[in-house]
Amino acid sequence: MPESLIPITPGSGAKNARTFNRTIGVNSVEEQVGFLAEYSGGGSSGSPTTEEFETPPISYPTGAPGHLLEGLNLTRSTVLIRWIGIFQVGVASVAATDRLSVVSIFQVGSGFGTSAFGAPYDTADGSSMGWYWGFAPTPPLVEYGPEVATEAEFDCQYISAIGAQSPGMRAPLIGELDFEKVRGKSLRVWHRTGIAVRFDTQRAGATVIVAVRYTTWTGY
Amino acid sequence: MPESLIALTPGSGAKNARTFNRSIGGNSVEEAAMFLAEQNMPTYEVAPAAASAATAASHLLQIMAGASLNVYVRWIGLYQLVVATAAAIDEYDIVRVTTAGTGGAAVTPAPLDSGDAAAGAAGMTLPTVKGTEGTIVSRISVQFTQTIATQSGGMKAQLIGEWDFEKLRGKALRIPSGATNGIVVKVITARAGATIIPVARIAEASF
Repeated sequence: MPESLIPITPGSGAKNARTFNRTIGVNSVEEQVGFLAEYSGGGSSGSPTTEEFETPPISYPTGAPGHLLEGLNLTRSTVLIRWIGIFQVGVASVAATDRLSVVSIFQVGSGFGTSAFGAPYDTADGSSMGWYWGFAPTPPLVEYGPEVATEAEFDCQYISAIGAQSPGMRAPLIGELDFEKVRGKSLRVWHRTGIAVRFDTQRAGATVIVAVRYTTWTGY
Repeated sequence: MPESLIALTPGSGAKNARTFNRSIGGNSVEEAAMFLAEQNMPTYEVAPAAASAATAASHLLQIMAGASLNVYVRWIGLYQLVVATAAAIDEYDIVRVTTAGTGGAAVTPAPLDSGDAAAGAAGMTLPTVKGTEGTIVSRISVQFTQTIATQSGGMKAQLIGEWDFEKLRGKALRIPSGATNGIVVKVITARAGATIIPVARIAEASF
């Protein structure tokens, strides 16, 4: 009998918790009413720090497979990856559908020409959580971060021409992974480990923005 | 063993909290029923007239905080209104600014609940003197239409770009209080002919 109840002894009435009364079967029950509060102001230990990083438009590195982006968690806590998106900017030489994946790594490779940190959504959380991102590797010496496991994968359809008519809502967002679901965990990245966005096929001509949104809780 | 419980002593029964009984492992537990109340944080829509996308590095939309309340940016959408001279994919950024731009078309945020006070925050499109740019918070690419087909362009085809900061776990994009604190939606590449309606939904709070 899964539908159930807990009898409550009401208090003195100096304050009242809002409820909604409902009769289910023969039970008169009170359903609690709550609302989703805003996460606390900056720097609070009870509040998640949320940050976003995205590359400028970048070309594919030469060769395949490879990594469009590598990131290493240098924060003191585990980090939860909420969302990864691929926006196409420059057209590809040939239209195609390619597999991309997110792989776990334990160190960033060498030869990445550019590195940067993400930007927090709340400036009171500091200038950055400390998650280090590398992209746009400069050949010929490119050594990607050693891969541990494939965490997720998705397909992206690259266009080779821009049509005059509308392609539909948010068309340049050619691929995304949404780890922020109502029930279910986000992709967890432990301290001193990282992730990479891996491509299996070199997509000549195309330029993309690779975007990542992530959060951390103090003490996680 | 993270799954846990707190033993409760049932009360006198004058009122009953609705629960759902479940057995997890060896534990019989009661899961409380609740529903989400209506939100109470004042929320505003920043809805300017269409603005030109034809100037590179321009600030299509500027939102500056007021003197005393922090701004939480929930969502920003870019709706293409007028077709471009040539179809193209362009980058758009959200950038923090540390001074307010001036000389553009002012936009007064409209409260979604007329019972709320006027917003302290202020909007503007295409300031002629741009605010001082700081950190890039986010980048996306958008595709401009050159020709409107006689047939359907697909669901919400004119919504060429959006940012959704209203997530279940994680902070929204926050602008600290102070009239010199703000964000802008920045046009990276000029797109001749095209206009965009940049819409933002924001909330204000003292925390």
